[in-house]
Amino acid sequence: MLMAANILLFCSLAWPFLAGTVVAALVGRAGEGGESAQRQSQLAPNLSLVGLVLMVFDIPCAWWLEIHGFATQQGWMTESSLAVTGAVVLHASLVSRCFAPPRREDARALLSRDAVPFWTTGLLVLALMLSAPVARAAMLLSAPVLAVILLDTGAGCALVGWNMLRRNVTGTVLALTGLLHPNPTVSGLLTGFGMMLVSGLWPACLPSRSSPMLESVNSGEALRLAAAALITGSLLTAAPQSMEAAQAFSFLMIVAGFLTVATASLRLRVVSGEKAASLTLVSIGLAAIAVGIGEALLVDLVLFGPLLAGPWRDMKGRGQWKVACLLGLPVLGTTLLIVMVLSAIWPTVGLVLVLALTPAWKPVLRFLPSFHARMGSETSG
Amino acid sequence: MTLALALLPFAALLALIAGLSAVPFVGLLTALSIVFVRQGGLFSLAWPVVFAAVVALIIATVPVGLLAGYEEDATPSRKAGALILALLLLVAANLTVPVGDVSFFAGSLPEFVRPVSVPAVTVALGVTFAGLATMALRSGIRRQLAGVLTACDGVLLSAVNTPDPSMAWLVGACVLLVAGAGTWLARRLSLLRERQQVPHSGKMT
Repeated sequence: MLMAANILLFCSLAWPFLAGTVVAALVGRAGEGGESAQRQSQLAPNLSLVGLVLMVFDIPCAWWLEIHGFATQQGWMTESSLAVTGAVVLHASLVSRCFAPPRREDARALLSRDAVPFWTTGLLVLALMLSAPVARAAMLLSAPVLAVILLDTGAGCALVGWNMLRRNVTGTVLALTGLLHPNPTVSGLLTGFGMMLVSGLWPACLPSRSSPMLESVNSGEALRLAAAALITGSLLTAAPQSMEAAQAFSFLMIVAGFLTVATASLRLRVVSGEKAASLTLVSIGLAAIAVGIGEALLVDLVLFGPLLAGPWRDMKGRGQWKVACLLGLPVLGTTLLIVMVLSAIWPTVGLVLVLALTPAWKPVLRFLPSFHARMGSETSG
Repeated sequence: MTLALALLPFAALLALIAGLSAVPFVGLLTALSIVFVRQGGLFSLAWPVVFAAVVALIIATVPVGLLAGYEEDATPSRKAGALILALLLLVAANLTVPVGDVSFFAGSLPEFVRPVSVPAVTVALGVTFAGLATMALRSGIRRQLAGVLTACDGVLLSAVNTPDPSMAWLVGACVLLVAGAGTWLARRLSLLRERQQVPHSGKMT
């Protein structure tokens, strides 16, 4: 059984790279034919489904290993059930990405559209599974570098890629420096600042000219990277190396999460468009608060919605109702759970969270029935 | 050893002001510091140290050489803000390690972050912060790339300063990746006119 679990883990870790290579090879050849492109477009969703199934089978294995007291650490890897759950969420986002209709700017780069998400997902899942925190932070950097090199090749994309790379490099360098620093409090603070930048929390989520976080060309990649960074942060707080560093890190994540939630709910109220992007930002902020209070499963829950709905955000028609539900319901549920947990510890902080979300209620409630009404009018007409 | 370590923050500030042309100096000083920090010999295997020093030299020379043929940045240089931020962060970096505290060494630090040389901790942090200030506040991709490379030097130094040899391998590989991607993007984004009067050869990549 132990051997089977190891083999399964190895297969599920190696699968995205293998599948991405297969997709790149076959789709590249189909580009000349053109006729078989329709058939090839079915290939990537099927391969991503296989990856998801492999990863889902890893969850009982991890549980079994933990219950029976086997060492979950093999070499550089740690197969904890929290990490496997996060990997399942990332794989689900890959499946959603592969089934989504291509956006307009993707149409000219078929290779990058199909193959690169596999490779970046594989790298991010590897980052979750590694056991050393420094290795995790270093691996988190490899995915955006690969995405920038392979995706931002079009004219006018290089500046966006450079700004994204600059933000991620700043965050990762801060996190690496923090993890290598001997003073525990400074270590936690620097790691927290780095994770804030990588996952696009408060200072990075402000609307700025140079680095629009969620509106960039490869926003799917940015969102998946942010989710992986937050899940890594939840793993760091779940198994801290020193108490003081974990305390400083959690404090910083809670503060950044509150600021992000407040900014995003104000944006929902003030800016009329881009409701989906603002809701995604709300869920990222809630995930940061969940990281800070040490609820790792809540992080997975609240990130599940935007990760699944992200590629479908631009869709028109009656599917928008489902997108709005996917974006809205995990936010609602996680808010309730976080307020419940917080009110047991610090009641005032829970109240502050509710106050920070207050400007968002009206636009969100208007957001949901508008799709409902449009869907009703479509079916009647 | 002490001289290289002491000159390193000044070299980082020089890279903040002068841009990409001062980066080889920073890299050379970093390589010297890496070699001499580990000379005390906490562990016998020297390969990670050699690797880190070689990486420091590579990222200091190769991007500068590759970008030598391109135009300088024409964008306004926001020098004062970056310099002020870098100086503030340098002071903050020096405050992070309580130097006189004896219990700091004997305390309950995790084994893998116990520093080999305590002065190198603050120097590495200062170099990293100077690089990050350059990266964040200067404008123009060549100056920002100089900041990226300086920050990478600082991280390399702090990775070598821990007793775990795998950190040097990991961070070295990570730094090589970043420097490669940054150089590639800088070549795409720099003005493509070469300085010599070579006719355009359609080199748009």
